[in-house]
Amino acid sequence: MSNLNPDEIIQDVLAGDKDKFRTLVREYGLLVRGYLASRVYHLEDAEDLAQDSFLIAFSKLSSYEIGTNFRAWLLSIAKYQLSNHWRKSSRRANTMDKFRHDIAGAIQPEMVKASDEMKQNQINKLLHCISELPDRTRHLIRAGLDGVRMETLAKEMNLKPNAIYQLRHRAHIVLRKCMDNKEPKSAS
Amino acid sequence: MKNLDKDPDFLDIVAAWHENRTISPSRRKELLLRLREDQELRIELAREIEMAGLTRAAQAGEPRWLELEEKMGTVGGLTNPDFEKEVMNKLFEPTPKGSSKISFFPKLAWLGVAAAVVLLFLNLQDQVPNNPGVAQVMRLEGENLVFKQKQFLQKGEEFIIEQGLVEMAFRETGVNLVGTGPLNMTLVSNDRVFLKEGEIKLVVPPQGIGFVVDTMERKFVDLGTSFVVQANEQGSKILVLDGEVAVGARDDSPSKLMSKGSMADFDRDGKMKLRGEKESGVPELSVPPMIQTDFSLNGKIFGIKKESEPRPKGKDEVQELTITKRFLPLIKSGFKNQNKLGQFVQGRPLRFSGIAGSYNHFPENVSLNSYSTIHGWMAWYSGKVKAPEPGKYRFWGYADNNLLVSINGKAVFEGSRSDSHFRNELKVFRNNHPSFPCLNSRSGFARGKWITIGEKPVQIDLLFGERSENLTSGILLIEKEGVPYDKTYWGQPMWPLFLTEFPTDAQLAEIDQLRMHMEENIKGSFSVSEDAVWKVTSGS
Repeated sequence: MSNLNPDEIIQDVLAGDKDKFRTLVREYGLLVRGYLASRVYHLEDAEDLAQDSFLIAFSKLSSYEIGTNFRAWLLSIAKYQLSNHWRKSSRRANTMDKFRHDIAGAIQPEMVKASDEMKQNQINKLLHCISELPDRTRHLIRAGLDGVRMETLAKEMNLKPNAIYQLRHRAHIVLRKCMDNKEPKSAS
Repeated sequence: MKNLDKDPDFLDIVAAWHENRTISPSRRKELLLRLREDQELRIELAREIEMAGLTRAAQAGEPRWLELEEKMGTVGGLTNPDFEKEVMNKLFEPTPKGSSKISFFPKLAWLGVAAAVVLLFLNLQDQVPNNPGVAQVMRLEGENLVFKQKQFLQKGEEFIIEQGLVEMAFRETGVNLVGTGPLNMTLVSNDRVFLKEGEIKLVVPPQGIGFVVDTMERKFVDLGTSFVVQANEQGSKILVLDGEVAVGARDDSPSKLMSKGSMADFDRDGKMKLRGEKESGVPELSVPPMIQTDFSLNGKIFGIKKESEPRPKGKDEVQELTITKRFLPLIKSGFKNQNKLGQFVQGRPLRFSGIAGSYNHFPENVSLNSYSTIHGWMAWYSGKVKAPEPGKYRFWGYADNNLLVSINGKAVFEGSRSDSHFRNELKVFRNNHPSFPCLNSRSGFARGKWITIGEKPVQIDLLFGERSENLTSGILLIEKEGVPYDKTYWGQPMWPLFLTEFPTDAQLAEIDQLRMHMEENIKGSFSVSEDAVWKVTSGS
């Protein structure tokens, strides 16, 4: 899939083969969902925004300029959706939400760089890399997804809450290395 | 590149980002300053956040984007069946996946077979070609689940999820069941489930009275209520949130009635251990420094001087002679008639820091030393406060024993226990929520009427106290109309604590402990928000 040429697919879709858009969703789905999931607190909001982004991309596909960067074009739609979401949610944001917005504002250039750094072929390796993590580490990075609070997980693992974030950070470094084609090593 | 994984600033920012962990204003300021000045921190944080987002999305499994599928007019779905299915399966190899199978559980064959056969016989004539089953899955969260949202579950069906959350509605009884994984239960019939493992919360409407939850140890028969049952290999436990539950044994011995607020454990031999209030484990917050200022909501604590009056004999006399009753004239006069307050002994001046948690040692902590504990105590906070913004507000809360809020001399909220004089003699409007849990009290999670607050400061008078002895707890929250508060897994909006000053770091840490206790033990919660602080314009 990493050799996929989005422009060819887009031309097919525009020529009437709508079903081919699925290939783009498969290829770039995780990129867009991951981009949004890193910036939105509730995962379900991120999933909704990701679907909306693909819906817009599908309906505005004719405005995409063949020969330019489809990934960047798609991410710009996701960014637009995200800023809309933040604008709407800021009306009901509590103090800590505002703090998250402040953090996001402070590191915006670095966030752009971090998502640009992530190549499509690396993203495609992510699931494989996660599957190769030791059980304990995998449990750790799954915890938030399962609705387990970090404090609870810390108690369960007999660690301080910040130690959980520390271990998770190390696990992410291991994953990044694995996605760069290096062998994953234990983070625990 | 610096190694940031031991840097407390980095870890605190990550925690705030991922879990909305509450951080004090001063610390937030400090962290933002560091972030602006330290490029390496910004780069590593951005990478960490990016990676966390990707792993979240990757592990959440493929979403079902029905709208997109419809728009594209496709039928094949959006997922890549070969690659992702293979990898997702690999990810979860050590854990058995959710499964669905129709089975009559052997360990309770005497019950399951009997109930199923009887009900099957009774229902034979009513069966229609498309049997809608006994219950419908209304909400399902998790992954790798065999079950689907809106799916009908059949009589005798075993429902298993390894993780996540399910909400289901029973068709004929209207019973609402919320369960969290790992969950293993069997839907015996329209009005009966067998819980083998996991935790379920039920809200039973009048037509569902008599609904039964079986565990290996006991039979819990609902009598119009809301309750939580947990079961695991060691035994089962029940917490009655509202109403009453009859707990039956496996033999013919009489059932035991459990009422609101009660909690009990049952071991594998069927032995029952009732848990009283003393064992509730609700944290007691430290008493903060009580230095009063013009901008703090100030108060006083009162008690009846030790040995100044005969000791009451029996419950009726305690009820008659409690300090609570002696505060009624003050409340009825709109907090003007203070004539009788002089007869009480007082502790040191108080500074309001919210009502939250246990207050078992509060009188001694605020130097109310020479009072008669059997007559109880009362704290009275008073001052002028300004709402964060004009609008409609209402209070939520409960106390064991007494809690009352008055605005401009008129009582607007009363959240006391059922036998409180405040509750029975003042008749302030209150409505107890049928399913939101209390800390450990018998008062019910109460709310007052909406009150309209304008730009101008209002006079607030707040009474909180104990009728007798020293098992005291309470919580006081505030809701603003139209604000969509975050909700717990169990559906309770996380209204903010009613505060007149934002807590210090140390207080926030303790409040967080209390919130965690509530979330983990009773599925209740609250929040702390700077935006919900009612600023004092002049203390009393």
